[in-house]
Parts: sequence; structure tokens; C-alpha cells
Amino acid sequence: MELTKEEFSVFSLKSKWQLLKKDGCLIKSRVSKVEDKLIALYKVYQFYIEVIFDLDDMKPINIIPVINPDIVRLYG
Amino acid sequence: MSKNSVIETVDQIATYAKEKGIVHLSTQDDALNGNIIRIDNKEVVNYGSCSYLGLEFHPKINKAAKKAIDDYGTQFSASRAYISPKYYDELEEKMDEIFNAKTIVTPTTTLGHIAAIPVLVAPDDAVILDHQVHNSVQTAVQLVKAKGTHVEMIRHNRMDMLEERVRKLKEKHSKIWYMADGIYSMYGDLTPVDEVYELMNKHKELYYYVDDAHGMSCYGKNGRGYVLGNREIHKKMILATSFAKAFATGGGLLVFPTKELAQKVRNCGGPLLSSGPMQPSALGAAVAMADMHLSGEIKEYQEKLHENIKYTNLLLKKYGLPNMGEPISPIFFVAVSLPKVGYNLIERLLNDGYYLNIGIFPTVPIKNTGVRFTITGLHTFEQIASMVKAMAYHYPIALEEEGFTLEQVYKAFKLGIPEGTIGLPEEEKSTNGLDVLHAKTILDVNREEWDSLLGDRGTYDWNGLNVLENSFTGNDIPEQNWDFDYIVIKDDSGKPVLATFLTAAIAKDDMLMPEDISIEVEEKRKEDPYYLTSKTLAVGSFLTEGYHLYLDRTSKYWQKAMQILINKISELQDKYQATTLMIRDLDNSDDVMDNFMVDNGLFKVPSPENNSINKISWTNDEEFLASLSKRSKKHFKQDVLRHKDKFEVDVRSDLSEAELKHCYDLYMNVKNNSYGLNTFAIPFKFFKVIANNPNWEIITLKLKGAYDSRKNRKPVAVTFSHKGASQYSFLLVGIDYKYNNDHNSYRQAMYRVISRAQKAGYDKVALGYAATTEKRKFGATQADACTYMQVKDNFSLEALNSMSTNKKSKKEVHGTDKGRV
Repeated sequence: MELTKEEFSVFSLKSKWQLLKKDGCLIKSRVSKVEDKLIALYKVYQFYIEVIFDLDDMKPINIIPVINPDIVRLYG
Repeated sequence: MSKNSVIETVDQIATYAKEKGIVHLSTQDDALNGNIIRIDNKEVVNYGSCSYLGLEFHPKINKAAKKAIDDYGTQFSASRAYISPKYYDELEEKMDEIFNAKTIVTPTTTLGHIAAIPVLVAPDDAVILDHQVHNSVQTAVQLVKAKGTHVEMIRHNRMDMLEERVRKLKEKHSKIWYMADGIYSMYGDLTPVDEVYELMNKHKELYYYVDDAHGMSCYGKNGRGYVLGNREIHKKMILATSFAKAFATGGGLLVFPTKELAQKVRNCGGPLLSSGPMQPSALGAAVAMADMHLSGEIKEYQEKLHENIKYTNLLLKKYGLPNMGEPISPIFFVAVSLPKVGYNLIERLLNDGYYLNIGIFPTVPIKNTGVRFTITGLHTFEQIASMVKAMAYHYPIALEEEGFTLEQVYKAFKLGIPEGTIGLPEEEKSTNGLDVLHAKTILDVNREEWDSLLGDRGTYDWNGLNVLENSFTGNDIPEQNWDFDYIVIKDDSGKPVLATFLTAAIAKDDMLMPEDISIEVEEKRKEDPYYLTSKTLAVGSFLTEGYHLYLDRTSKYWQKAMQILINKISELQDKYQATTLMIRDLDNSDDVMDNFMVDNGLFKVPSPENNSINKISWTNDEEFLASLSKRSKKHFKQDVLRHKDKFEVDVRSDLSEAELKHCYDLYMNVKNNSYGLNTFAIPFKFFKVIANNPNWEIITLKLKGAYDSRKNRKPVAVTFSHKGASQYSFLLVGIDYKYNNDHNSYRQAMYRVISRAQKAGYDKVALGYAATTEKRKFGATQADACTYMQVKDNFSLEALNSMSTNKKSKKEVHGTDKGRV
């Protein structure tokens, strides 16, 4: 069963990550040199999500639904 | 319904569920693997665990339990009144810190209730039980009830009702205890703590005893539970909780507002004096678990549980499953209404690898059956998603297979029907191709056909029903107005398969309860005449006796016809807003019918004993006497024949209004003195109708002048009977009690009814309900009949059962008791 962006947003970071692992699909990723973080783009249900990983231990530190519809193009 | 009937019903439902393979199961695993269990050689995910945080395999806890066994052995066998193992002190200190209040550890929560309630509640206190408070609290309350404490019940979570009762009870009681659960174990709904606190602040007499077993560890700072999660204990409150759910160690806990009160319970609470303590392993584990609570480590597990709860709620909502649970509770209840739908759905889910529970009578009303399941911290999102998906897939199939609709489920739970919910077309749902006649008056039913099917069974031949309709419509008093419905179902060749009639009327909920309970209820009815009454839809009526259902069991359509009847009844129940349904009377030993009824949410209760003499083979008193047993012969000679010549007996068809009024007064004497079958009074109009009807007979018994010194000798007894095609049916009796002791007028009336039936050429005489011992003395036998019931709302039933246990069973008052019949 698909969740909406709003429904997905009510979960904790851990749960969001669980949902992404269960229902999401990794599209692309990039490293932000400014922030020294890995940022991965996932598609889950009918929307995109950016997951920010700490490069040291590769654990997600933030999971943010994406508003910009052209996000895939921005990943190049 | 008597208490024994409740036990019989629960036994019947549990046996049936056991046969279906969904209760009384055992795991087969040698060692458990998380939340996977093996049942019937199949691995299934466990959705029935109350270990909500999933900590039963936590290494710290297991290690502490093992160490305690190594240090103290498997038990420390001594009463806590003398000596306790050291773990108790450690554990209680830690629990005091968690709750910021004085605590006592108990072997179980139930024993905690049994220890605390009799010490806290005095005989002159009053107890108000929430309708759904846990059975263990109700059991402990029986102990104080036996000592004279007033106990009553209010509807679930109704704070308006609570306040109203507190206002009333505080006139006589200085302490009034409201007893409730924190989280209720079936629907997972919550006690309104803030509102109860407000009421306690407003009414100094109100005290709160709350069992938060399902909330412990899951909520609040340091896992203080749902009730005290974000507030301090109230000074007029006792909290009981459990270590055997999310706390994961076994044991119970009592939390007190003062040290003094805790010490009093510690000193005087029965199980704390004379029962064994918790085992060292459980105590060791509990100390380690308390540390986890105090260190804040518990928070991580709470968060995991709450995320799982959130996810489950979201999915249930998205799939449109009717979940009755609260958004924050780990207990879920998906409404299915009928037990047969619940059994079907649970079996299907078990086959798919999911073990869930059924929530069924008596914990919920039988038509509010549901699939109950719990979510724990051990469940993964994958497990939850796949289970809910499977439930959403099987739910409509189970409904369809059992001939039920989502619309009916919503109706049963009084839920708004969501848009787009489509039920089966009326025609398809109800008739199955059979021809169904549904009439609102007997005038619209073929007289010859009705009488050929049901005419010889009692007072409900076509004519008799016409009399009832004329008597019980158009009256001023609500309970004297009945609704009538007639159902005749025929097969495709026009042959009747089923015929019956139903009446809907206001009835007393204590109708079949022990006499003293009825007397207690009648006291309350002096203030509120409709206290514990409900609209009842019955096959038959309150004034007719016998087998009201014609069913051709040789027809291949009989079960279809019965299903149509059940569906019709369900429609009529909604129409009349009837909370109680009675299908009477049926053969008590018919297992096939029994299964059919249980599937459809009806449970069996014994019908009141219906007496009859089935073969009158004598022609005079000597032969009648010879036909009786040795004991009855003695009775017949002493109590009947000895008084026979004292009476002038007349069969009357010419009673004046005044004479009839006197006869009615005699009937009311009996009505007002007999709570054996506690019904509303029959209107005078009925007596007027039958007085002028050739199918009815009124027999009056006057005492001769030598025995009655009144100037105007009036009847001292009267009987009202129906003359059917092949059966004479005695229906009502009236007595002047002043003359009963000396002249045995009740027994004389019985004798005259039987004699009259014989003289009128009848083989069979129906003698009606009640006074079975008396009627046996005349050679009457009792039909082995039962009634099937459905109670939409258990409140009345449980409120009646919560009344004093020191009640005598329904006793017979006819004939033998001084001064009364």
C-alpha cells in the first residue's frame, strides 16, 4: 500500500529509513563536498526522497521528501 | 439470563472456537525465534503477544533471570509476611523512583487486586465498575460485595453517568470507588484520566482504582504507563499494573499515594500474607528491567513500538478496514460483527501465516465480534504491511462466504458507512429464490394455511394472534404496544418451509434473572420505570408459549429459509432499534440448529420450563388420582380434593365490566407478587378482548358461604385459558391471597383448569411457565426447549450480574409460601 508524502513525513528517521528500504528504490547519489555528506535520491511510492548520510559511518542522518519535480535532472 | 446461562454460553462459544482450531492452541517450537511461532506444523507471525516492547529475549534481562536462579534457586518459598528475598526491596525501591510514589510488588496483577481491594474498600463504601473493567478487578470486587459493599456498573467511559451516580451515592457513602482500566484489553481504548481527575477534585467522595496493565512500560517517562505517563498519582487514587506484558518479566505492582496506605495493604492484603512470592528468576529479571526503565534505555523501545502502531493504523485506514482501536494503542480490533465471519477470517489469516485472536462474547457483545490483534516492537514494517494486506484481501471474501455485508458490520458497530460501500442487492441478500411473505398483521396471512402450520401449538393460532394484535396496539403505555411481524417462506412448489411470527416490545432485562435481583431492580424502577429495560424482538411473544417456529426439516431448503429468517430479523432489529433478540422455543438437543445459531451470533439459554399434560387418559378424579405418582397422590388428596367442595366454580362468558375488573385485580395480585418471570403487566384491554372471545375461557372460583363471610362473595381465584383446535392452554391466573393459605385456591384453580380441559374433550393441556413443582404434582411434564439470544449491548446483562451475589435463585412462590402465590 502506497503512502502519500504527508503520511511518510509523520514517521521518525529510523522508520522512514525502514520504509525506504522496504518500498523505495535508489535512483542516484552524489557527494556534497560542502557538507561532507553523501546524498542519495530515492523514489518511493509516488514521490522522491533525499537521504543524507554521514560519510563516516554511512548512517542516514536526515530523510527529506523532495518538492522539486525536476530533482532527477539536477542529479545529472 | 442467569449466571449459569452465561457460563453455559461462554462454554458453548469457547468449545465451538476450539473445534474451529482458533483458541486453546499451543506452540510447537522447541525454542522461539522472535515473533515467529509454530502452530499445527506451520510457522506463523504472532500478532497475539502482549509483550509490546518485545523485551522477553533482551540479553540483560535474561542474564539477570539466570543469575537470580544461580543465586537463589528456582524459588524462595516463604510468605512475604515473614521474609522476602532481597530482590523485592531492590525492585520496590526502583519502582518507587519510577512512579514517584510508594509501590508494592505482587506475584500477579490479579493477586494485587485481591490484596488491595478488600483492604481499601470498606463495607459502607460504594464501588462503581466501568462496564468494561478487566475481569480480574471484577473478581476482586466480589470479595467486598460479599461483605456488603454496594456495587454497581456504569456504561463504558461515561463520565456523565459516573458523576450522576456519585452525586446520588454520596448521600449514603463517604467513599465511592470508580474502577477502570487504563487501556482496555479488547478495543484498546483508554480511560479518560483527565476527566476522572477533574471529578475527583470536584467530589471529595470519589476515588479511582485503575488497572494499567496494558500501558506499563509502553508510555511515559521511565515507562510509567499510560495513566501516570505524564501526571503524578492523585491523592485519592490507586494504580495497579502488570509486569507480565511490556515489562516482560511476570509479576504485578500496586502504586499508592501514601506510604501509610501502602503499608496497610502490605500488612493486611490476603495474598501478601498467605500466598507465595514471585520466583527469584522473575524478580531478578524485574530488577534489571526496572534499571532499563530508570536509565531511559526503555525510550528507544517505546519509540519503535509507537512507530509500528502508527504504521499499522495508517495501513488499516488506507485499506478501509474497520478498526475500532485508539490511535496510540498497541491493541487493534477489526470489526466483523458475527462470530462466523471472525472464525472465517482468522482461519484464513492463520493459513496465510498470521496468528491473530478473536474478540468475542462475553468480552464484547456477540454481534460486536472482531479480529483482535496486537502490535509489538518485534514486528517489522514488512510483517505489518503483509498482514494488513492479507487481511484486506480476505476480509471481503470472509464476509461474502458467510452471507454478510460490510454495510451490516458498520451497522452492528453503529459506525457511519463510508462512501462507496456496496451491500448485496436486497433481493439477492434475502430470498435466495424462495418465496417470502412478510406481513405486518395476521389479517394479511392466509388463515387456513397459518392454522395448518402453527394452529395447534398454543394460543397463537390465527384467531389468537388477532386477539393479541387487538390487545397490544393503540395503548397509552409504551410497553403495552407491540409490533407484529409474520414470516412465511415457501419453496418453489409453494410448499411452506418456515412460518413464524415476531413481536417487538419493551421488556425487563431481568426477566429471567433470580427473583431477588428482580426485587432490587424493581426498587430502582420506582424512580425510573424503564431502568434496565430494552426493546426486545422475539420470535413468539411474551404471552405465548411453545414452539413458535414452524420449520420443515425434511425440506432441502430449510437452512436457506432459516438464513432468510435471520436476515429478516436483523432488518427488523435495526428498524425497531431492538437491543435484544430472542428466538424461542427450539429443541434443546438439536446440534445442527445449535451450530447454525452460533454461526449467526446467537447463543443458547434455557427456556423457562414450559409445563403441559400431554395425554389426558382419565375420566374422573379416581382415575386422575391413579395416574399420579405416590407423592403427588398425597398432595392431590390433601391439597386439592380436601378443598374441592368449598368452591363454586363457573365457566364465565358473561362477566360484567366490574366483575372483569375484579378478575384483573386478582391477576395483578399474582403479577405483583411473583418475580419468577418478571414481565410488564398485561393491559386490562387484553382481558376485555378475551372475555368476549369464544376461543377463550374464564373460570372463576368462589368460596361457598361457609368459608367466605363477605356479603358480596367475589371470586377468590380466576383462570384465563385458550381453547385451541387440539390443545387447551392455561395462560394466566389471579388469586386473592387472603384465602389461599386456608383453602389452597391456587391449587384448586390448577385442578379446575385440568378438569375443564378433560371435560371439554382435550387430550392435551398446556399449563405454562413457572410454578413447575406445583404443576408436576398434577402430572405435568416439561418440554426440553431452549431459546437463542443475541444481546447487542452487554451492559444490562453485566450490570445485573454485578448485583449482589447473595441472591436466592428463582424460587416458586405458588402454593407453599405463607400468604403469597
